Amino acid sequence: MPKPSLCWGGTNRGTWARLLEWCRDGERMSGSNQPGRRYPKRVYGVGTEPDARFTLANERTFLAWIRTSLALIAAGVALEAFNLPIAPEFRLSASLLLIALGVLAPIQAWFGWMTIERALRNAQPLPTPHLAGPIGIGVGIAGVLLAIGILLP
Amino acid sequence: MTGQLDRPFDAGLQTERTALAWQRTILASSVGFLLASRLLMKLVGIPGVLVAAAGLLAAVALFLVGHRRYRQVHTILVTSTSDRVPLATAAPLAVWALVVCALGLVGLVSAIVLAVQR
Repeated sequence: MPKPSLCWGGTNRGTWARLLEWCRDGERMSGSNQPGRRYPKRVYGVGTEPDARFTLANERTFLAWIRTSLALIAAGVALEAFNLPIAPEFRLSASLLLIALGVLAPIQAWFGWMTIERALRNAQPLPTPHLAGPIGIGVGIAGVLLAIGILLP
Repeated sequence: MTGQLDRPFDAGLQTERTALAWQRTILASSVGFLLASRLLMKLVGIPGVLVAAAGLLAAVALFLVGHRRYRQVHTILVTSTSDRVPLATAAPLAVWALVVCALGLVGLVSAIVLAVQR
């Protein structure tokens, strides 16, 4: 028996109700989640299913890189958006460096996720995050630039 | 069936932790788009606000997608006998990496414009 609609529903199966239902639905598998149709084929077409816990941990690693990217972008933009008392050349170079690192981090996020998931499926050793070193060093350089910019008269 | 679905898949609450990680990421992204909208309104006016509003809508959509993803993975894992079962597609991950990359490029251009204006 369909439930009565909420205040905004015109019918028993109004758009909001259907959206909520779709969003809570765990039982009807999406077409895109069918084992043979998952994106990307380059990952899901090889090897065998790994332990679900490793796949979920890989997903959380991806999301952590995305949040790192957002923090880097926000820091870089904030340096220029607020008129901070830092020598302009050093401030701009640090800002652009941080934002550029923020653009690199999602690349590490996605390709790191792909290579790790493939290694999990093929039972191979996990690859290293290739951009982690450059991003870390870049943040250090940005810090040095800012320190010089602050200390200059 | 309800009782089975209500229990977590494992004691480490891996699926729940992943769902929360998605929420944290969406929250951080939304803050990013809100800041972008404020900045872009100052720089380019209304078109900038529309760009940022599109990003916010994308974040809301991702929230719904993320919740459904959790429900699907949770149901798959509690109703199967093995831990090695196919889970979800990685399309939302690829899409969001692109969106955040694009936000970064917008930020790059904004920083250059702000510096030139001074």
